[in-house]
Amino acid sequence: MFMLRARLRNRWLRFKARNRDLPACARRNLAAIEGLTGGMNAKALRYVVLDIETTGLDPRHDEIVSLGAIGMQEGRIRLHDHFFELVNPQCRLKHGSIAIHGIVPGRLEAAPRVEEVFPRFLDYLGTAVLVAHHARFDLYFLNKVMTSLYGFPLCNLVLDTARLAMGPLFSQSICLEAGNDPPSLDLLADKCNLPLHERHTSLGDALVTAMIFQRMLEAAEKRGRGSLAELLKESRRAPLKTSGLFCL
Amino acid sequence: MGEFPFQPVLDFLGQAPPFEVLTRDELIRAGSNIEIAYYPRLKVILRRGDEPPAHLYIIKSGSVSISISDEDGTVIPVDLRGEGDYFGAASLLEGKKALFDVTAEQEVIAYLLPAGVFLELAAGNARFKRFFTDSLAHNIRAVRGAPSAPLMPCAKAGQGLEAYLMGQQVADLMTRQVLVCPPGASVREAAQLMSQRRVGSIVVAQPGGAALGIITDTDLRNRVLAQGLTGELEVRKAMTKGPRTIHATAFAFDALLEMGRHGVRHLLVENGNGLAGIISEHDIQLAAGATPLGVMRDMDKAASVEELAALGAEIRRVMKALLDQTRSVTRMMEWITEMNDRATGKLISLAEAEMTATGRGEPAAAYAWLAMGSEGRREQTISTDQDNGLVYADAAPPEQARVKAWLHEFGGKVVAGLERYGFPLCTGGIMASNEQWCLSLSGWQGQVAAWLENPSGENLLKAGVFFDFRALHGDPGLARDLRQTIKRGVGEKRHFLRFLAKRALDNRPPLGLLRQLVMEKQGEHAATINIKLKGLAPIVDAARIMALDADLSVTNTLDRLAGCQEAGLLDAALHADLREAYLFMTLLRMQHQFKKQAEGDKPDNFIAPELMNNLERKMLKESFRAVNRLQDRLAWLYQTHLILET
Repeated sequence: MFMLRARLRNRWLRFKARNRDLPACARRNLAAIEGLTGGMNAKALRYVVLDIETTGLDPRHDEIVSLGAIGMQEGRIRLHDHFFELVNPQCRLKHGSIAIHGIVPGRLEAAPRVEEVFPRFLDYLGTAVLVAHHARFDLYFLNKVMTSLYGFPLCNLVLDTARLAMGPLFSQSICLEAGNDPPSLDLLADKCNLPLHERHTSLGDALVTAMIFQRMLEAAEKRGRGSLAELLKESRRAPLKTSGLFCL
Repeated sequence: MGEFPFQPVLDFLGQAPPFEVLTRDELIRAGSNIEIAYYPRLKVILRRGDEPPAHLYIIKSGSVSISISDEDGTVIPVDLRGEGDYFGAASLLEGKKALFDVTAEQEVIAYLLPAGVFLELAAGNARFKRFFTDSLAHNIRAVRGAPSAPLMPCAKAGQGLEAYLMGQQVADLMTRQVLVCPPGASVREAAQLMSQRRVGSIVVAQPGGAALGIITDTDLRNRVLAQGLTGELEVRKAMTKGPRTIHATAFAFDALLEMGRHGVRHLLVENGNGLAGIISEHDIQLAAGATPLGVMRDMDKAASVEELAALGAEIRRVMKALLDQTRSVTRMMEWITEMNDRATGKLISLAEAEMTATGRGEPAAAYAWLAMGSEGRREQTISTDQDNGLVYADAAPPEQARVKAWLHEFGGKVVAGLERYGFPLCTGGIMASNEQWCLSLSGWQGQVAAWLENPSGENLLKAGVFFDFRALHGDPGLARDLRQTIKRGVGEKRHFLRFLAKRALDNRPPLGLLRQLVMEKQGEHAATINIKLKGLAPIVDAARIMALDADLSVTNTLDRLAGCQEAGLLDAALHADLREAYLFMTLLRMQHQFKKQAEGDKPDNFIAPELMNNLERKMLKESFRAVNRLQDRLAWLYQTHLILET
């Protein structure tokens, strides 16, 4: 069901973009869900588990300052398949976010601009399924850039570990109480006994997210519900209010 | 991309023993190619017989069990691996299918190093590679330590049974000539055929038909002769029905497992075209080397000290192979004790014969040969010097002098023989050739009283060695009387136990404030731990003291500990921990000594924790902790603080 919607939406985007002059990375992204079907074994797919750091929490005014991502295939996190870039934001850094991710403005000034970084990221991302914790947040920032550069949002399928954690597939295996807010990454890592190494750098958080997602894949498979469609359904089953902006 | 961004991964890898020998560049090469995998509890990670694994697995957290299982689903555990350990190396290096089942015991996070990168690193760094080739041997050893493994053959010197059995196929070792007789033949006919062809078994089958059964020497003995039946019996009534078969391409190792599992000594070998041969445990034994039983027979046959001494090297080799197989410390100590008892017994009878032959006559009074120290406790490892003595029955003075002279000369011969055989002389002079340790019963009674009266350092040491005595040969009545003397003496002088306990507390286990292992700081034994002095001796000493307290006659440390628990001196938990600790530390010590010996060094007790895997290190710390608890208990039981420092 969801795959059908995604495909329709993708078809529409491609139609809109048909006459535009797009760079190869963007053109490729348009075909991101090509070849994926809901019945596929989710574990076999390539995932890119992502985390971004931003200048602040306001999607309208804040910007990305770092992009960290790590690849997964066959359920294994592949360390060499990673992406990490600092991004020089056009707006001023607020002090609050410096405190969280510890990136000092000086380092950012030396970093490339998002227009430079993003095509590289798209090349890295390829047609992988995107995974993030509270994916809507990351996706909003990414799509802001994506749309401004190429005129359409990312076409990759997206899974949200925060929502997966709430779903019946996974919540029991880590003893989360149902009905509460989606768990924070810290709480999940704690429940899974994962060491929080290098938390609050985008790449460090991406790695922790990947290790949590790894367990989710395993748990889904164990319950005989290891197909891509099952995971997408679980990730969509929204205990939260969905904003049309993010989910289309 | 700049520097490798996953520093914690490098930190972890860098600490895991095989990887710590890598250069920084090699380590980064390994680290950046790592794949992180997660396995829930009970997930089978590798299955025996699967294609060669594509990765080397390093356990980041959790633990796995390594096992083999047969077609009936019986699981034979082989090993447990924990944090920092690795698996899959053997199959990678050999390019062979997985040798074992590997199952997650707890949730496991594993770092997977792709095969290509691993082989490249192994090719480029010999030290790195050696870790894994050693572990291959370790794996195979562990298999043969599995509970169901039969007591079996021993390795050829320097070659290693593991390598041997790994490489040899059943077809290489089997007997190709298979005797067949029809089920209606008489057992006499079968036996005649077997003895003509000098084989130990015959297959029973209809001409051209499948094997119905097998008859072996053992069957003829047990099912025919012992039953009082005659040679006219039909073989079908004496045969073992439904013989087990194995394929000619199977490994000798599998054949042994199969035999052990079904309790048989012969397997029929098939090669797809029918019966190709027959393989017996004996065939494998012959191929692989001597057996402990064979060596024992040779010992019994030895007609001189020289002949016996010549067997010494062979015996140590057999012992080593035995340890490799069983990994059972108690059984190992029993074997060593048995071998040493036999050797001593043989030397004693040789010495007696020599005394007679040289006109010194028979012993003029009853005597008993006393094995003391570790031999008395039946817990010898390979490197132990002599601790022995003699006790003889009191006689009238003129006779007494003659007896004494005779025994003194006799003791000297045995001690010299033991030295030739391979037991170094005791540096403390605790030997039957020494007048102090060759006394009449009343002489010993006086000696014990003197020790109890004056618990000085020297006396405590001697008493400790002596109290572990066991009569190995001669009149057991004398030994019983002596044991009674000690019991009575200690009963009257209980403060003696306090002095013994105080002395036993001199050797504390080497655990630091943070419970880390504290190693020797300098000298030739730097970065090692004296496992005998710091770990085993405290248990042995404490067990002796509490055994005296509990009025036990047994001398073996494990028996003593069990007795002390019954007597209420130890609680069950501490007893269980101590038993494990004792066995584990003894295993470490034996393995170390055999290794030293194999390298041509003199076996000692200095083990290097850095050569152990993480699990072993953890167990060693646990063991030391148990010793600590025991010593606290000892201090409390005997109120050792009441003795002032001298």
